[in-house]
Amino acid sequence: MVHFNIPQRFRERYAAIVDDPEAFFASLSRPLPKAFRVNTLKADVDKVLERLQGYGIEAMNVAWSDDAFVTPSDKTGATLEHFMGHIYIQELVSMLPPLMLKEEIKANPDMTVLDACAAPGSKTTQLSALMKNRGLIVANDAAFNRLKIIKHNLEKLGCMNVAVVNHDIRFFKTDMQFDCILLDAPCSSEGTIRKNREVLSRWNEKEIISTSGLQKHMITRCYEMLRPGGLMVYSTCTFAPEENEGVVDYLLSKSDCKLERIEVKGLKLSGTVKAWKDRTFASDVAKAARVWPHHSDTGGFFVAKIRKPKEGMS
Amino acid sequence: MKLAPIRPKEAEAMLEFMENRFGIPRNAFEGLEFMDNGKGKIFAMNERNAVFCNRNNIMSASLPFMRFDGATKPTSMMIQMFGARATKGIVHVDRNKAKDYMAGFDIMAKENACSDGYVIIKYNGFPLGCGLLRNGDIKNQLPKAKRMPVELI
Repeated sequence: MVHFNIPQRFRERYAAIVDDPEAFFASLSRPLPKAFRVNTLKADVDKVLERLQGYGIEAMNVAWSDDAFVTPSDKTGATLEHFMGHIYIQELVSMLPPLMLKEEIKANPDMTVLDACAAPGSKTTQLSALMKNRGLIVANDAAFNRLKIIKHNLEKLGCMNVAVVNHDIRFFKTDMQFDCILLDAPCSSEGTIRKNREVLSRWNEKEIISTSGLQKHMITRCYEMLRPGGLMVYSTCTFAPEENEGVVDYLLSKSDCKLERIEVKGLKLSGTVKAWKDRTFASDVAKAARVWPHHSDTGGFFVAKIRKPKEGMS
Repeated sequence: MKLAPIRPKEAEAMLEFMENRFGIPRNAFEGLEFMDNGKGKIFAMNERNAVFCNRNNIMSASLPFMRFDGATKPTSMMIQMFGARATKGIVHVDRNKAKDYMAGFDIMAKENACSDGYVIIKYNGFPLGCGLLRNGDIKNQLPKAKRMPVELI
C-alpha cells in the first residue's frame, strides 16, 4: 500500500511500538469519521436525534457515551441545532478526558475543576454539561488570542459554571486547591494527522523533546494545585512516548502520585509503551491508556488518571 | 476584570423587566447570581462561579444575560437559554425569515406582532435570539460571532 508522505523516522519510531504497523500507517491517510456531542445543558438527546433524522442526517451513538455520535453527514454544521448550541462538533477521542471525571462528579457535584489548557473549550463545555452547570470550572489558556473562542463556545452552549483565566499554567499563582484537574497538554499533535496533514510536514523529533520538557513543567505545577485526594487527568493527542508515558513517569518519580487504571466500557483501549530508548518506565505507568487510530477509527490519544494521595496515606 | 454582584434593587428591576416584557417567571432564574462587569453588562452564573469571578481577575464569563445601563437589553444567548418560558414579547417567524435572522439579516415583522422594543425571535418553538422591533422592522441583535448560514431547519 502506498502511504502519503510519512517521514522515514516517524515510521521507524512507531513501527517499534504499535501492534500492526501497516494498519496504523494506512489509517493515518484516511479522513476521520465526523462526530458530535449533544449539549445536554440546552437540549434533550432524543429530541435532537429526531430532528436530525428529519433532515436526513443519520447519527450512530457510540458505545461508550450516551451523548456522543458519529455521522456520515457533513451537514451537521449547517443545522439549526448547531446554531442553537444543541450540538457541538467534537472529535471522539477528545471526549475522553472529561468522561474520566464522571465518578468524581457523582461523588461531589459541586466540585472545583481546573481545565489547565482549555482552548477552544470543547472539553470545558463537555465537562460543564457533565456537571450540569454546578460547581466551578476554572478554564485557563496561556494563549491570549484563543480566549475568544472559549468565550464564544461557553456562551453558545449555555455554560454558567465556568470562569476564563489567562495564565501560563507553569507559573499560575493561586492559593486554590482543585478537586480535579484536566491537563490536556499542548503536544506534537501526531494523533490529529487524520484531520490535519500539515502535522506531518512540520514533524521533527526535536520538537517532541522540547514539548516534553514543557509538559513535565506543566504536570508538576498542576499536581501542586491538586488537593490531597484529588484526581488529575493528563492527556495528549500524540503518539510520542516522550510526551506521554515519559511525562507521567517523570511525575511518578518526583511526587507521591498514584495512577489509576482506565476503563471505558465499549472502547478498545491499548496498553502503554513499557520502555522507550534507554528508559524503562515505572510499572504504574501501565495503568494509563492509549487509543490508536486503526483500532476504533478515531484520532490518536493518550490518557492517564493521576491521584494525589490523601494526607497521611502516601 | 472582576465582576461585582448587582444591587438588589437592580436585580429586582431586571426580573421585573423579564416578567413584564416576556412573561418569563422569576423562578426560571432560580439559583442564579447576577454579576456586573462595571460597564453595565450583566452576567448570570451559579453561586460558586460568581464568588470566583468576584475575587479573581477573569478574562470572560458566561452567560451574558443583559445590558442594563439605561438601555435594558436581553442578550440572544440568554433568550436561547430561558426564552422557551416566555409568553409574550415574541415574534414568531417562518422558515425563510428564521434563516435570514440566523444569517444576521434584519427582518420584517408580521403586523401587530407585539409592541415595539426588544423581542424574542422564535421559530418552530426555538427561541433563536433577540431582535429590536421598531415600526414593523426587526433589527437583528445577534452578536456577529453567533451569526451563521443555516441550511437545515
